[in-house]
Amino acid sequence: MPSLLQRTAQAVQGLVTGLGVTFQNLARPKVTLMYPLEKSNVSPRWHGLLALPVDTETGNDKCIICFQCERICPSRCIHIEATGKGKERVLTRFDIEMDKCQYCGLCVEVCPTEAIVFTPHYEASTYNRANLLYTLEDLHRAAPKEPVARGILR
Amino acid sequence: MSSGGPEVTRMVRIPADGSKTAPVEQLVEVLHRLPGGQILVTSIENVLNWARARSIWPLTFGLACCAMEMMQAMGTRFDLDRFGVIPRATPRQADLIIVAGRCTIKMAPVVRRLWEQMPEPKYVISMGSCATCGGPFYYDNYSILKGIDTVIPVDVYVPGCPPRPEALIEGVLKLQEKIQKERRLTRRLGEAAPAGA
Amino acid sequence: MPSLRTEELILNMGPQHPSTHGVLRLLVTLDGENIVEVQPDIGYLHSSVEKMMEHRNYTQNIALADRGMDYLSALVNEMAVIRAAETLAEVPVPERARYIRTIFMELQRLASHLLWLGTYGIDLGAFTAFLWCMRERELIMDLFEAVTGGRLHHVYFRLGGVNEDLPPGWTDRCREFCHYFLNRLDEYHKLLTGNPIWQARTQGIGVLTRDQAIAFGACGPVARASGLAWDVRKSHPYEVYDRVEFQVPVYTEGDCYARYLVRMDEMREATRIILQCLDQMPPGEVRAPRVPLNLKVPPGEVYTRVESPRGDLGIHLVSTGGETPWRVKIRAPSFVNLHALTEMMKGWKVADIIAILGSIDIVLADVDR
Ligand code: SF4
Ligand code: SF4
Ligand code: SF4
Repeated sequence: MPSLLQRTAQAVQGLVTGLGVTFQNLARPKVTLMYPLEKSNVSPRWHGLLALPVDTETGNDKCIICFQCERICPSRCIHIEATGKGKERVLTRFDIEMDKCQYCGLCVEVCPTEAIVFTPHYEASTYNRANLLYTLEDLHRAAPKEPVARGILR
Repeated sequence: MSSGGPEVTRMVRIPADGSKTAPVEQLVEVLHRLPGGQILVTSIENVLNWARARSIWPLTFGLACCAMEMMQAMGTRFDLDRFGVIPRATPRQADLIIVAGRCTIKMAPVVRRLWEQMPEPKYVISMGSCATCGGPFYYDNYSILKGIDTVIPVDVYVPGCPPRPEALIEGVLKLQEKIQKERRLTRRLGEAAPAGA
Repeated sequence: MPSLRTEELILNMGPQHPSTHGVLRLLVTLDGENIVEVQPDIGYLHSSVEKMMEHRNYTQNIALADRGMDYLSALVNEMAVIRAAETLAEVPVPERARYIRTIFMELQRLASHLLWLGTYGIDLGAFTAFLWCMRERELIMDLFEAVTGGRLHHVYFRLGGVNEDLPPGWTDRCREFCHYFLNRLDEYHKLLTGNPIWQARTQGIGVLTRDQAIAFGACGPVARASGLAWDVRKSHPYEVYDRVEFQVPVYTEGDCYARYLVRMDEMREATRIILQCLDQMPPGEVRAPRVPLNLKVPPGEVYTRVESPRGDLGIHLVSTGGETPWRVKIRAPSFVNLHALTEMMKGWKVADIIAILGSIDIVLADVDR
């Protein structure tokens, strides 16, 4: 057992080393991101909310109704229905249950026309689970359904 | 007094019709009837909400992968402490339970009990697809609960698998908005009125 | 003097306990302050992954392996599942993809060990460690996000390669991070390794001898801290581990402190592996052509193993020639190490439960699957 003096010396040494690191860190740049006021740039590959963006040339989405995304989806959360034959086929339903989706990106990978894509949006919290069912209209809009919360900071 | 024990003095007066009214509520009721009292009650309520919304203490409670993102949100870069969200280790001191991750049928009674142990007012955030509805474990699965809202009432749903820490923070902000709009005192008055009428 | 009547007390720890790293329940039998016996009660996170895998094809199983198994080492799980299928179907993998996979598995090891260090710090009362580890972990998450698009769950590896090539400039970012991280690692050593409180809480606590480690089949850092030089990356090299130079840290004490040191050294080795891979990586394809997403794996049976941050992760795959596996059995390292816990805990004090439990680094999703 070291003597009291030795232990005290040890403790003081530890304190000085620790405080040294503290003061070093004071001089470093801050890492905290002031979230609602400033936002980080998500990477272009980020798996955010899904969307079927509208093509500006044709005024419609690029989906050719091949059902591949519906088939590969591991969560089985894409629901597609279509009417008509051949070229006249139109989507009557394209729903994605965003609450069941696991944001894996397999649907984006298999889509032959890049109709379904990830958007950089990730803020979609809601008071009601039913709001997380994104219909064709919401997917065309390619944005969260509800305005982003600002909290009590107005 | 058949048991012969000392007579019990009730601290809370129970009205003859059986509906319980705490002294605070009686006070609010009296205030409400005074001239200009409604404004007073609303102001008191706003102050209370102001305090509540700025100090939501969650329970440190992680179930699965989403808990890692919850830790990141409490970590250095996102720092949930900025919003007065300080994790507490016991449900008795917590206002909020963040259900982060999938909940199994075996775990469901535990979550329910934790929620019951929290004092009012209490809030629930369901974080991630699994807590919201079972998510990736919805089909072909025999052990995961299909959504935590079958067990406890949820206030805010945060989608994502896992949600980014920012998304969780947005959920907390949404909860703050909700708390700010809450009418706890006057709602009780409104409930009591038809019963008394 | 008549002896005081004492009796054993059963203490119930969990499933909600801030230090059990998930939903583990421990039934601790106590005699005064001494632990007589510890019984782990598991199954609070059983997500029936093995059953679900039988209903999903191999590509969908990659997404499931991320989540259902050890979620702190998602990419290593993907590797385990993919390696089993690739071995059976004899899928060719381009060289560049092999290097990318190795880099990502080692980054994942860093992220996992950092989280362990942070939470272990909280358990033992060193909160600064948590904040620092989270700071470095965010940088790894940024590296992940730039390539895979996910922070925790990636779905990045594919049968016959990886999903996408690295974006331009990523290798430089990664190299920069590695050098930055090595400096930070020295700082962690300064903060914790020589810290008298840290040493008092971990040194000599929860000893697992070499024989006991072998008897329990312990693996990973737990075995290596007990003097068992066992690492799948060295003994059964996969991907490019036979082409990079690294050491397997081994300590003989078998206590919590040794397990801590093993992980600290592993982080340094992982950084070395990443730097070597970045230098050696050839240009070229990252994904073998003509490997369909719903690949039919020929009938057969295979057992493959990879070294996850927690130890020896094995997959036993039985295929009958369909798009989906017929049966998958996962040999989870945390599950095995959890059994050694009963032996490690015997005779220690109540306050050491947290220190010992934290030191074996279990992930409950890995235990229960
Ligand atoms: S991201 Fe994955 S889970 Fe979500 S809709 Fe696409 S395939 Fe389905
Ligand atoms: S894979 Fe693409 S084109 Fe085919 S149905 Fe889905 S969104 Fe439409
Ligand atoms: S939503 Fe995703 S990240 Fe969260 S617990 Fe479920 S599988 Fe894990």
